[in-house]
Amino acid sequence: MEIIVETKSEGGHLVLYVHDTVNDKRILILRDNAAGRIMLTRGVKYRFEWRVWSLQSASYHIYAEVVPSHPAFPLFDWPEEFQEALYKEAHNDGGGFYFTL
Amino acid sequence: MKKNYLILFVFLCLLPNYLLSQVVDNSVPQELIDTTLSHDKEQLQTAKFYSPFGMNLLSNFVSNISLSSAFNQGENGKVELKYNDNWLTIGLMADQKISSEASEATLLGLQGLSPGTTVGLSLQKLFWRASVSNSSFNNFQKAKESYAARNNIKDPRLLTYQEILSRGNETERKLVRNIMLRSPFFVNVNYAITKTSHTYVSDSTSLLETSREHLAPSFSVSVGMPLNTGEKFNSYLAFGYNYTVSYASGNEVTLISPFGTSGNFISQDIVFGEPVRQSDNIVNVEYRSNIKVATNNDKSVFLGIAPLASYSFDTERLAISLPVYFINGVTDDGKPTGLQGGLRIGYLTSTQSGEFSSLKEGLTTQLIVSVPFDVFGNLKQ
Repeated sequence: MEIIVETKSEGGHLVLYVHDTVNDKRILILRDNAAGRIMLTRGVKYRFEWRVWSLQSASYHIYAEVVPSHPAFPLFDWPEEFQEALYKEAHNDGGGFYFTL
Repeated sequence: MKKNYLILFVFLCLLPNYLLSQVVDNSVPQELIDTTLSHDKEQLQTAKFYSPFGMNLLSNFVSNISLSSAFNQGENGKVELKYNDNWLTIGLMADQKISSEASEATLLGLQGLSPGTTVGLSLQKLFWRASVSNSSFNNFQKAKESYAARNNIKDPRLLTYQEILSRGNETERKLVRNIMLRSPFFVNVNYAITKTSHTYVSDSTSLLETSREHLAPSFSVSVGMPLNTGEKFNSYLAFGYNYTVSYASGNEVTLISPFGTSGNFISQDIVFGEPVRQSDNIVNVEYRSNIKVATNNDKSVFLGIAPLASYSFDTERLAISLPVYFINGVTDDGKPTGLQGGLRIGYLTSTQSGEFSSLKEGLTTQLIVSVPFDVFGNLKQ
């Protein structure tokens, strides 16, 4: 089982982490416009976290899915499907959640 | 129109460098770099202490061509090419001094760099400890759960810190308000070489003029950081150190001599003595801020200010400059559009005697016109 993540950033900076909380280790780091995948282990608690920052307007998009699909991680499409998060001015934001397969 | 041709010419001169290297970009600090010829002491002094145009301690984020005018002291044409990837900005810069009488600017001649040309390479890296602490992250989860339950949010995973801060209730905002969302900081390293040409007389009997060219290196390192965190911030503070080598010309004198037996006299300005190599250690502090002043067709118009103070330990001189830029709107993805114009006001004084120069003696002004462009198509920030 693995997680596939894709990030897009225009005008600002984005960083995304997948953190293994059991071993206290970042297993995936993506910056700005990037794509990556990493194997996940059942029963391990993961932390999915992202941050966005810019001194000007910027837009971002994050897409993530677990294959094969798993009810503990429904398809993730931020801010929403086929949309980009648009920040019109300087910003410093982010989000995240825990998940266990 | 003549200036447009000069800008185009400067760009075309630099294009082969880009094609060869495929690495690019931005600004190299110009402070205290002598880019002038030896005949104009006033010009020499000005060029030594003021960046002709462009950014100082931090790199430009956008490739650009710019032209600055110091009124009767001639112009500078400058090209900055840059490439951003994985939070590293690699830049190549070329700056050509254009005298007030020149009709063209030549960056590269048959024997390499032309006098008055500065070329530089810069590396700028963004560092960001973006992850929040476990306790802060757990507080955010609690706030999200509460907010999502109150508002029937189907997928709370999509909620962000700022959404809770702007729309949450007092309890939810309180949980998120104290979370430290760190901003990135930048480290910038520059290396540049300036070619200078000096014409001087070393023999007072024959008055034979000699011309020599020198390559003057410059190295600088700086750190820049956003001043405020949270939702409201749009300014930087940067600190830098700069080591430069320059060549100072000798004293200029005017000789008056008989013109044959006609009974008339002619005068001739000459520089006595070889140029002297000087090194300088400079510290800089720069503040930069964009102030939104208007909205034009849904595009924000900004007034950019970037006051810079430089102190030279070797020559004991203080320079203060206040560039004011008018940024005529940005696109939806944040890139500046159209011509960027501005004015740079500078003040230079010696601190040796303890008395500062008067405003009349120390004040300089420059006009700046810059055209941002995306030479790579895949410009990323």
